[in-house]
Amino acid sequence: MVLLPALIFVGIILPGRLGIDIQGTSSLPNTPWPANIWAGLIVSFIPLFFSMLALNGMRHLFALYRLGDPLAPHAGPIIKSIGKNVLIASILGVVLYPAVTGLISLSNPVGERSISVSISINDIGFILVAGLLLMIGWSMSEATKVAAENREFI
Amino acid sequence: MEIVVRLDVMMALRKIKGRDLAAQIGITEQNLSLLKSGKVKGIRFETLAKLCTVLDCQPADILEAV
Repeated sequence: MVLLPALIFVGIILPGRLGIDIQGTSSLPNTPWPANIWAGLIVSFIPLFFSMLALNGMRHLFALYRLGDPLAPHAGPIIKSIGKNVLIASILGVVLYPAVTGLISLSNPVGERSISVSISINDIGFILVAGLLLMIGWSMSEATKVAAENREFI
Repeated sequence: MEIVVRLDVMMALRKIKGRDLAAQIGITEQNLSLLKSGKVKGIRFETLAKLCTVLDCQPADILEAV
């Protein structure tokens, strides 16, 4: 979780050095990038921010499960939060894609600028998984309430 | 109307200690204490049946509506 943003930063600053293409930066011109390209890259990383929040939620969830209590009071809300962040990341990935392509191609000559709209099977899959996580989180919250009530019965 | 637990009365009548009763019905002394003080949301039929067996009484001897 700590390394991923650092690797992305290095990959953008030194394109090609890591042997991976981050958001298509390796195909960008080698000259210093104009502000619109930086703006496009920043916008393209907004979904990543929410993915990192989801990842952080998973870290908390696994830490909770390591204690051996799957019906801990925080488990449900954490799963819901993971689902919410995955959903936001998936939707923003689709919604912001035209803005990203528009911003990155803004400095191109007239006629070479473009706005792309894209939705892949992966995006749909992520949205479905996010919905599923939200439902599981809701069910877990209810189960936690029932378990807490059951503990008060002797 | 509320339900009052009269377990302490029955225990006194049967001359049984909390520790012994808890051991016989298979709950902790802490839970038995909570039950006696009425600081629980409810009592399982299973626990009530065991209490009645050990104390040789009816549920109405333990629980009272006031």
